[in-house]
Amino acid sequence: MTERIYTLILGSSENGALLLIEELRRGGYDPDFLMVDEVGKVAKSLVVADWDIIISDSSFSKLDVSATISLLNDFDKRIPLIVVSEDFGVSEVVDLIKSGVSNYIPKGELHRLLPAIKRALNESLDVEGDRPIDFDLEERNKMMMSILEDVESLHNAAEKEREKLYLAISAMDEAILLFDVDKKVVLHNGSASRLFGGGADSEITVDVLSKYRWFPLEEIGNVLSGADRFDVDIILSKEPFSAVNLISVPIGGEGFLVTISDITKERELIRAKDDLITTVSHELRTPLTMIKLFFANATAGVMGEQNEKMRRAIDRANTSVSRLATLIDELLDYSRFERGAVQISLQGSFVGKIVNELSILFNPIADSKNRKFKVRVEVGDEEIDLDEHRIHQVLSNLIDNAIKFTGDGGHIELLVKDDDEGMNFMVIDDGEGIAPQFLETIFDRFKQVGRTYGPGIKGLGLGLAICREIVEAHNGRIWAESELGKGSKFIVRLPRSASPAGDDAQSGKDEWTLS
Amino acid sequence: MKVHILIVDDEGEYIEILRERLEFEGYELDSALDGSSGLQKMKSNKPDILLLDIMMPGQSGLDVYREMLGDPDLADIPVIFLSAFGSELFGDDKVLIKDATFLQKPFDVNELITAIAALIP
Repeated sequence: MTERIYTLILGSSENGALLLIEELRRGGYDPDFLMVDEVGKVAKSLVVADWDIIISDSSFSKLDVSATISLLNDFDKRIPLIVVSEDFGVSEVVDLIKSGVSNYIPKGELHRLLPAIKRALNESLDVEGDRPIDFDLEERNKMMMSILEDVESLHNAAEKEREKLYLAISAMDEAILLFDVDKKVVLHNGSASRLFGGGADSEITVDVLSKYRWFPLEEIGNVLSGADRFDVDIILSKEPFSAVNLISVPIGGEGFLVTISDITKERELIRAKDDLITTVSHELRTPLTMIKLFFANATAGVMGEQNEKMRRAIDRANTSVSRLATLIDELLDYSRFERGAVQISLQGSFVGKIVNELSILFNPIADSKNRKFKVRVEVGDEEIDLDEHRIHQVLSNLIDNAIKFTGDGGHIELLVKDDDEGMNFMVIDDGEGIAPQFLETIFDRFKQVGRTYGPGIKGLGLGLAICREIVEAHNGRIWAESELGKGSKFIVRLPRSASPAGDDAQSGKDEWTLS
Repeated sequence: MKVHILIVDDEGEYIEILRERLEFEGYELDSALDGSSGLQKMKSNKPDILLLDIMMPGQSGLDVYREMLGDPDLADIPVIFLSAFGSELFGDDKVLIKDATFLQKPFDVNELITAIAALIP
């Protein structure tokens, strides 16, 4: 059995009204309805019929709903009013309920409409029948109000948190820009305003940003389409030096956050450190040169005959000087790599030539130390793109290490073979091997682990770190495989046609210089 | 006749140690402590080989080399650079010094002697 229900619908959308009617029918009501599309017509419709319920559609504004409530009060009509809307915030809903609206249904939750109507009708019956409002109802209203007050205070607390957050953002030295998905600036702090020209309160628009040539307007938005981070150091000017670091990160599909921090001081410190290393290294070279010359003169007999004891002492001193010179080279090399001062220049080089040179260099060294060094090439004399001088340096370092860490009579092999991923240069020895826990870290700087050291073979632990820098600058990979007691294998894999790292998206972090 | 070598370097003591060895090897060594007096010596008594430092007060070794290349009388003197800096630090000047021999300090004096022997006309 259906129940007739006189329904006044406030709204201008016929489709919206039809949806509501449908819902009422589905709930077993037989709705007799009138739709009014503006608040001016509400008064008239209140006179022409006794409505059971008023439902305001989302096309009816909050102001119009308030006006309707006033009208109901003026006419002394206690007709339940239910608001169906899609865009009211918590505080607005609280206002509505306080002003006398029976219920609020978010448009997406239309299934809650029928229960709300039933409840509203029951309550209005109680009132209409002029029966004294029963205790339960009064209690319920009180509870309702206290829940609403809780909601309101939670809302206020959230507002306060938001304000605190905003204050914190405002106080930050970093410039912060929040962009929406359309790349529009929706929030920025005072540092950002100062950075982009205006006073602390000036507006920042994409137009303003586009006037700053260094600002990567295109790239920052890449995080909207998959990239999880865009991070770049930008040199703004060389004299006087100033630089910033810019990071863009996505925020859960709602846009992205850009922070820009001043890294001038850090970069100046790094530069000062590099300058110090460079200066000290070069200052050390001159006295070293003299010491070396002096020993060489003594050995050559420039200063007359020397006995066996003297000769041995001079030999040892000479070795120490060479070691000192190598340490300085390592330090200088590493510092150059760290600040990107070393450029890899790729050119077609033949595998055969590289291998031959190494063979000529290391055969006598290995022989003199009673080690066997051999070269095995399992590819044709292919030409690949590499920086010959630097790759020679890498392989020399690996072979030199292998000779050092292999005992008397040990075997060292340089094996060249290719696979799908590139050309592999492997330095294999049958020495003591490296403990598994050290395999990962041996390429870190200042790390010297896992091998037993004999006298006179200490270093700064920069050799392998430099090797890694060089190989990675070729977009290649270097790693070690080893088993304790069975020897070690160092593999350098170079792509066949390399582009220097940094030319493509593979490099993690770029540096831009504004020229 | 002895091969005549000129060394231009601001470190006098270093020149003296090197002189002992080079004279021991049978060369004749003349020296200058800065670029401009080096150029003067080259003009008055042209050496067979020039050993040139790079970092010197006043005219650098590269300045000296540039001036020599612009002077037809000096442009053909074979040059060995002896510098504490690696050759890769010189950027565009790398092109300039590509025809010269380069030994980084502290060098092995035997390498220097080999390099000199290779340049003797």
